[in-house]
Amino acid sequence: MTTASLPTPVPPRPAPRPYVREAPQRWAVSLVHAGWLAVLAALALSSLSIYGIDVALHTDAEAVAGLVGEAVKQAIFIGAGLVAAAVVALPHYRLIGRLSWAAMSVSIALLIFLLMPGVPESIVRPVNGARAWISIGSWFKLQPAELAKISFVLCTAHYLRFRKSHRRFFGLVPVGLIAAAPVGLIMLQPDLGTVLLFIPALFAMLMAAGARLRHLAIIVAAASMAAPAVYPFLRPHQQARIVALVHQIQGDRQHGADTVNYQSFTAQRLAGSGGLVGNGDAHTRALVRYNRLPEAHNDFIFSVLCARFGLLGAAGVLALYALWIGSALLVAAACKDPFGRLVCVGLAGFIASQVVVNVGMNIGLLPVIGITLPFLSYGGSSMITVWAMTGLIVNIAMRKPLPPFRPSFEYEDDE
Amino acid sequence: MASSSHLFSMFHRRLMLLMGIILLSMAVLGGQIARLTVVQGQELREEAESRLVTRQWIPTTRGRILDRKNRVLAQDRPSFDVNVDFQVITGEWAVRVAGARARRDYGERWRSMSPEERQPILDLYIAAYQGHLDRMWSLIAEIGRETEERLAERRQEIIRRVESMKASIYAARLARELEARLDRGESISVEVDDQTHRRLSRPIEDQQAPHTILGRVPDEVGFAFMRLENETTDLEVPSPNGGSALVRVPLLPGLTVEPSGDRDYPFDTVSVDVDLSTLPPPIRQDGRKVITVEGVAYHILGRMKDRAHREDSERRAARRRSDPEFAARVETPPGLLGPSVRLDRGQYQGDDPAGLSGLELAREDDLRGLRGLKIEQLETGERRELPPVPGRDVQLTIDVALQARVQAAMSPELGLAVAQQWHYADGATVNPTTPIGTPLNGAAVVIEVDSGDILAMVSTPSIPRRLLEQSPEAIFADPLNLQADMPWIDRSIGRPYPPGSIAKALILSGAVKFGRLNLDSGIPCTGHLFPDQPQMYRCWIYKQFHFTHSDTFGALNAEQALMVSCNIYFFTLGQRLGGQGVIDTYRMFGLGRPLNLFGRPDGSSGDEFLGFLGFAPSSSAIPPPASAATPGRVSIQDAIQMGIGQGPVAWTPLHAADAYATLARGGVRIPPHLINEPSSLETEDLGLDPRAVREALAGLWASVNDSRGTGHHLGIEGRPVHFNVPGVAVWGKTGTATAPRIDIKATIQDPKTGKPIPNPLWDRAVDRSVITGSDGSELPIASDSRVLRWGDHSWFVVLAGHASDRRPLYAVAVMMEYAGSGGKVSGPIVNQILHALRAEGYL
Repeated sequence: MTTASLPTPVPPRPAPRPYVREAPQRWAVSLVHAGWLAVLAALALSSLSIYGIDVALHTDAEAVAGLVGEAVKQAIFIGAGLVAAAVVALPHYRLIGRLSWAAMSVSIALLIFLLMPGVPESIVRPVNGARAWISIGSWFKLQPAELAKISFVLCTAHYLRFRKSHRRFFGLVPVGLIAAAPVGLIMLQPDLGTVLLFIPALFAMLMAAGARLRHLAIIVAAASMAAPAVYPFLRPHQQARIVALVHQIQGDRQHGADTVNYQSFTAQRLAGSGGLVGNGDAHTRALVRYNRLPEAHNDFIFSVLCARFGLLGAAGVLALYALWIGSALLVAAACKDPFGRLVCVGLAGFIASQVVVNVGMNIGLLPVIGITLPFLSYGGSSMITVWAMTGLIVNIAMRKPLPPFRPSFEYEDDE
Repeated sequence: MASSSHLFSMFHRRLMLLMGIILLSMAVLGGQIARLTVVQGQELREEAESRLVTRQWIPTTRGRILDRKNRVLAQDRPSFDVNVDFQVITGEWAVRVAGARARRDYGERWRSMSPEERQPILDLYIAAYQGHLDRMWSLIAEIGRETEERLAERRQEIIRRVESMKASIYAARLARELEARLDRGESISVEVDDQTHRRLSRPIEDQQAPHTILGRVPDEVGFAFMRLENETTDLEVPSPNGGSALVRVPLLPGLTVEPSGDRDYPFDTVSVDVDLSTLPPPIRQDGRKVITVEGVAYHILGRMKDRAHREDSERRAARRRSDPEFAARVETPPGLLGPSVRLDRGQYQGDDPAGLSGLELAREDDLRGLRGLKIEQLETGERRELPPVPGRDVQLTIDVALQARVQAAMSPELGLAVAQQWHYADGATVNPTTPIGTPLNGAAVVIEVDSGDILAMVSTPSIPRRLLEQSPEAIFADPLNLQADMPWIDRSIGRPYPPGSIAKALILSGAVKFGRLNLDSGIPCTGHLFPDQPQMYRCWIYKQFHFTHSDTFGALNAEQALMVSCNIYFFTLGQRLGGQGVIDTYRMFGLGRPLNLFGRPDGSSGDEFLGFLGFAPSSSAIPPPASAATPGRVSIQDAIQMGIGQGPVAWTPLHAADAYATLARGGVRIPPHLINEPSSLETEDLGLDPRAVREALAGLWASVNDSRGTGHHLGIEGRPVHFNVPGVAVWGKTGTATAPRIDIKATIQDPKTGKPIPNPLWDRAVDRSVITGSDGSELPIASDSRVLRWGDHSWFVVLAGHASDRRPLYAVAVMMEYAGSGGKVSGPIVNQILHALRAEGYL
């Protein structure tokens, strides 16, 4: 029997969402907003940083009066950071948003520059095998990865601000591609630690932008299952650190005590020595000096502060970070503009993951990877970056769109 | 639009979710910080603060061993060891220091260089530091009066030793690792991944410790090195600008000078002069002879090993854990190094020697000194010093001069402890396993009756320390030593010997105590115990001369029975006592009761033989003897044999002397002791019948002083009496005890390679056809074996005192292995010991 085959009815394709240009919007500027909480936290942490660096490096209290050189430099970096914050806070963030792709292009150009063969060592000098710094003048070194962090947040926020595509699984791909360029270049330096920070920041923004949690969960699950497969491709020293961490978590205090776990054990010992309320100033300096904590003013400054101020001090430091992050999220909550919202979430994601990873490696929960602690670790690029982030938060906080405005990231059908 | 069912929009809910995740992560961090600071805070703070303190150990000395007259028998020799750190010995030091210097000189630039760029620079630096080490070795050779070649050999030797130790430690660690994996249920393979390999091959202690490069240097050399120990010098090293720079380096990097900890035994070799006119007529001469004895009191003092082994450290650590008093004595005082840091000041380090045998081992923990400690508080610059405590001295009850004289009496050179024709009765055949001239081994013990002090305790052959140092293999690989002589065994306390007739005095006391003998009634000697079995349980006199003691005495009383050593009398007592009675008698006199002569901290008896009594339960045809500590089964036949000190019973010369001393005290046993310190063993009254003791002593007196007694004279022409010390009263008993045979095979294992080689003693051993039983029958010897030693052990035990008051002051026991007649061989030796007691002012 033959039947005439009927054409299968094709469901009508949804009309492609037209690219929405930003509608003209009227704005009010308010000076009463949650952004000041972030400034407050940043100021408190920065001040603590000067003292912390002095304790970490200036171990012989009697020999030289005054602050150690690095602490003085850090104070200057903080000043520069404040300037950067002000510069970033003043222009309207929508303007900054429009510049985001340009900023990303500059970041990528600089990241490529780092990897270019033939660049003289006076400009790019590998440190511990990583090409991560561009020397500007004799005492400032620019770390393009820091700039890339901000550009990445801006670009991603700018891309996602009016879209819905990321609510489909494959709609996540273009967002991933935005991250791929800076992440790939930073990985080539290689600076695995910084790369790891991009992922939580991206996830935070996707969550805020309404991506389906089950999609994100699938990616996380797939990544965790794939992780062991990556292990054989890691470098021996990276493998050693993972094995060492496993031993550590199992409570084996002997494994690698003199080799791969040396830094971690020393940091934990110092952190633990603080007890509930910490050691005196001079005693802490002596403990830091004779326990030979490496990078005490940098990656391991949290241990120094634990030694000095104990559990209570450490809790205070974590509370200040929570305040900064909370402030950023409050600003996001109050903000009606989708771009502003996502920038706040992205920056909060970066700071939060950086704090968790750095503190985690200070106290033996995570392997030792070179990640600085925002506001507290010594370093110009890092300080200017985190203050610029703070400026952005203030920028977004103080500008409130006047009604009417478009709703953003409000979905009915989410789980 | 936000769903009306939610208070917050999805965006805000997502923000809250994010904040929640972040706060949760921070809570985890906070929890871990709380764990570190509060839960482990105290421990971690102490650990961190311990780094604020530098510690330097100050060497100490080992305690001395003294004799009862405070003569020094063992002490640390005043000499020095020159030690150098292992990393300097291997040259790693130069590489390490050169690398550090280059990194410092080049600073930031160094980090940016590739390994290929660094290597040539590094080589220049290494060459500079290596040159310094080369000059150092020349200097050490010059000051140490040693050739550079010898020094280089010595270094290679150390490196080889450490490498081989490292290999064996690696193997042990690997085995443990695999075992642990197996326990965890993981699969194991022989392949070891890089990680595990690195962990297993972590440096061993010896790779970081100093090693002795020049041992036992005299004072002036030691002092010369000490003066240079902390000197520095300028070394020319390359510098980044292409020129060179001067840096301060130690003149002799890693070099330390320490007391060598060598042991000196001043009385190891002693010359004794002997009055030859007191010897038995066949070897008697006018005048005196100087006998030089070596290895005096070797078995008591023991010896040291060059370096402590892991067992030593483990044993010490175990004692520290289990013995709080010991721990309190050896640990650093509380609070000196932080609240809970207590270090063992006597811990074994580097090349520390340790006791290997004898008292040096048994009293290791006392003799070993406690190091001092120099402590510098880096934070405050405060310095404190804990002075070293020398090891404790141990004083013996031994009189080393008497000990040497006793050893001289037992020296083959004197002629008593060597097989002689006059040891045999006229017409008797010479024991083919010990032809005339064979040195005879044995042991002698002298106990002071009133105190239980052991004045001398000799075992021959001894081990001369000179030989031990020069060629230990001459001792430990010698086939005769390995198969018969065993000079390392202390025969006075460490080897089982059947007591033979000397037990008869004890059996007499036991039989009366347990109500098995009425002293008023006699026992006739019938030649053989059972009238219808003339081949069994015979009296010695019946066996040799075919008549009986009753032919002379009628029914024998106790005194007569002991005097003539009548077997029938004591077979009868054994029969009457039965198994349990015999066991009780021997145990009463000390068999099976631990003495812990050396005062081991764990209370164990070490090498002391506790004795055998009865047979252990066993399914085999020939059951093994049971330890006297828990006696085994004794049949009535065994009990009869044990009445004359044969059958399943064995003891040591110390047991014999102790038992006779107890008899001399009227049945009060003072456990004999070797160390002059309070003992936990208590004096005990055995509750012997006083009349039985009197009769026993009368019998012992008659045995030596009545011309009919077995211990009265030497059975040779002229019948010279045994004991000729003027003014000395002697009670005594001979014993001739059937000894276990030593058979050997035609091949033995090479002590070095473990492979079978022809037995070098095969030709000196005797074919079985030569040996016959007492009744002339051939002995059951395996056809592929020959007999190396066979015959009787010779015993003589005496009590001696002043003739004026006839009170026994000393008990002397002598036993000579495979020597035959008790009276003929051991008697003259006992006589010489009595002369020695006289010479040393005891009698």
